[in-house]
Amino acid sequence: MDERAILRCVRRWVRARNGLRAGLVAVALVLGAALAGRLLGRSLPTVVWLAVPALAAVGWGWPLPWERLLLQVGRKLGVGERLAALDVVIERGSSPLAGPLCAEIVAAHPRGWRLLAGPVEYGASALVVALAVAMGFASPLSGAPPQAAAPAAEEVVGTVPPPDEAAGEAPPPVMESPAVYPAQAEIPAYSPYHDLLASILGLEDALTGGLSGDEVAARLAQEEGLLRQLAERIAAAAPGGLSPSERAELAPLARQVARPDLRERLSELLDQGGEVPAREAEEAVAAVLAAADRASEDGEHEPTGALSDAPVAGAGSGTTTGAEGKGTVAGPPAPRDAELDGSDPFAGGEEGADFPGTVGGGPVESGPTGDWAPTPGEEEPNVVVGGEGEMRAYIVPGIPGEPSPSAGNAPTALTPQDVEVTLRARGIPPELRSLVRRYFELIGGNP
Amino acid sequence: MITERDLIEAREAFRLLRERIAGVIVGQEEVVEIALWALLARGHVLLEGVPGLGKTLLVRSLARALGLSFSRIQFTPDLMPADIVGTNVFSGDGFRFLPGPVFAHVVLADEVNRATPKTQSALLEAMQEGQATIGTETHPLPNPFTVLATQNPIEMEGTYPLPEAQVDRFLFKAEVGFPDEGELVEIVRRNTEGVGIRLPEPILSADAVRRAQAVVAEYPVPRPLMEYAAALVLATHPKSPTAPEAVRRYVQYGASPRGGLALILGAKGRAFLAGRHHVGVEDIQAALRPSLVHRVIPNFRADADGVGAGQLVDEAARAVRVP
Repeated sequence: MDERAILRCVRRWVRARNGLRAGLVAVALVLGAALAGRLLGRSLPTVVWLAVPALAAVGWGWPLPWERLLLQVGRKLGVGERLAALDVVIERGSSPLAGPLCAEIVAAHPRGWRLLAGPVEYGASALVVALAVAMGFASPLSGAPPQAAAPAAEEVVGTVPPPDEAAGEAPPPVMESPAVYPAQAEIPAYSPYHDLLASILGLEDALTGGLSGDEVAARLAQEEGLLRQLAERIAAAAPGGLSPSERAELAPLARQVARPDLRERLSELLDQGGEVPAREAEEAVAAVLAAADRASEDGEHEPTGALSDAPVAGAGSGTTTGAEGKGTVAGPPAPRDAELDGSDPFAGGEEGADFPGTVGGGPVESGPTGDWAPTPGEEEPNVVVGGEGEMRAYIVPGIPGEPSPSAGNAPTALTPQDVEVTLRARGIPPELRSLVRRYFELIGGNP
Repeated sequence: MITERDLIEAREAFRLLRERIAGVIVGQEEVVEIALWALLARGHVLLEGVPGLGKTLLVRSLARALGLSFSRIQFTPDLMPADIVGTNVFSGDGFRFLPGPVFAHVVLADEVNRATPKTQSALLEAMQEGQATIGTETHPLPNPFTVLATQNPIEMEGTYPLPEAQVDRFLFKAEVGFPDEGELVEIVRRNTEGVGIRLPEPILSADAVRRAQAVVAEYPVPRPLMEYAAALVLATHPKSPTAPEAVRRYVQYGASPRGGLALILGAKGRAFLAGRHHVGVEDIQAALRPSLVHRVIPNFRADADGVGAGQLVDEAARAVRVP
């Protein structure tokens, strides 16, 4: 091997080392950014990983200060300053020292891999491993891809399961483009009321999927923003009915709705077009939003309350007038409410057909029959329910509401619709519902 | 044109030379080494040490082993320049040049600081130019030409210390230390038993020395090492940003550019004598003191605090990052 071949070989080693260093640094940077993004609930586009080969290539081709580098490389390869001296000799042309220098270098058996085993490489490798491990621990979904890897909205549309399946098994589609919806601009901090909000918005799986509190809050805000956007756009178009172009615009948004039944119903209504379906769609979205608002308000009143530990007396005591105008219900998840009671615009009125119409303190004035549809803003008379025993669980799905100022220490009131919704939401078999309902009527002093 | 064969022969000859000198001179390996650096670099050495340490014997042995002509000049206050460089004398057919003792390959200028500055400068001119001008004629000095001057550091009365500019002409300065007990015993034994000191037989010739000088001049020094040498020199200057605190405090003048020259040439000579084909950082570091110690001029405060030039050079070296 002549002197020039030795130096060429060394230069290749050095370039490989520099490429490796740059690649490792790039991997560490990308991993660090991804980790930071994950901790902040943001995601990195996949294209960022292209920086790794790009930086490695830059490192390979980076102009090198050979004179100084050969000195360091020579020492690392165990040949001392001979490489640098050989470089000087070659520059001079011929020298009696070239032969002996080459012989000494070859005799030292320099190994290129020694260049790849320096403190920089070890440090960068350790950093990469540490970041990768940290990424593993910081992963929001242990079995599922992070939010960054979620399919785009169009892909989600194509893979949305049927409502029945979606309600029972599949997690709600995860949305991308987080900056689209206005409600997301202010992401609330996580609170236990997010459990309820998640059930209202159809995002229960987000709570059990290993997401952090902030991530859940962000997800809820995102979904709420989507619904508000839908509501606004449908409301704007509803008076004259939905035009084909409007339906085409709204359909993708509707398909992104997490709550399966609402998604299905909206799709149906948007397919129909016309003024009445538009109105129904608007009401459906408004019903869910109203329930979400109630949950949020209750959450603000008692931010630290554990949902399942709430006393019965607190349940549903808030007097509100939601979009459905049902009055006093703050307890059960409003969407299930809407699904089951007669006012549910997207579930139809048949579900509540067997509802007896009287609960607690006597006949409900508004006549809660199967096609019960309260007038917006109408208040139901409070129904006193003195729940106790195991059955309490059926009417306390988890809203430890603050006693209404107007009610003072008055007994808890639930509307018949709420009771019915709760019975269904809790999975009470149909043959037992009348029994349980009767129980509440009895304990409510209305035999 | 220097060949690889020249390289091998020169190295072998100098290896033998060191062995032979070691057979005559007890200890003083470092002084011998520095003297050889100077010879290989076409430079001169200032030997500093008290009398009786074998300085003259060392120089004589060196000259003898090298197969070179040798002359010794004992400097005294009444020594005249003509006593060194020679003079034109009248003979029957006119004036002819009578060379002085400086016309030898190896010159021992013993107690150089005892002569007047005028006489000193005559020698130093010859050292610098490699020639001597007498009247209107210039006479080249033999090649190789090396001056090894000695000076006594303790008897300062009646001396004329060499000016800094003249000290700078010496490529290296070697401090001849006192022998330790074992070496002293050996010196006594060699001088009191048998037939006394026997000078080594010649091994080299002037031509071989010149080839060796050419070989050493070929030694490659990578640029980072050159920069290192330059940084070392700059670090001895009190106004240099790289100078350490001790240098700023105690140094009046730092090393001259010749210091950097001496560093590299000394490093080359050391690498050659060590049997290597390249100059390393350790060669430069080894040449540091002999190259710079006589070029760094401490100030009065250093004298008062007992800080020597050698310490300051070491401080400067510590302040410079090794490449």
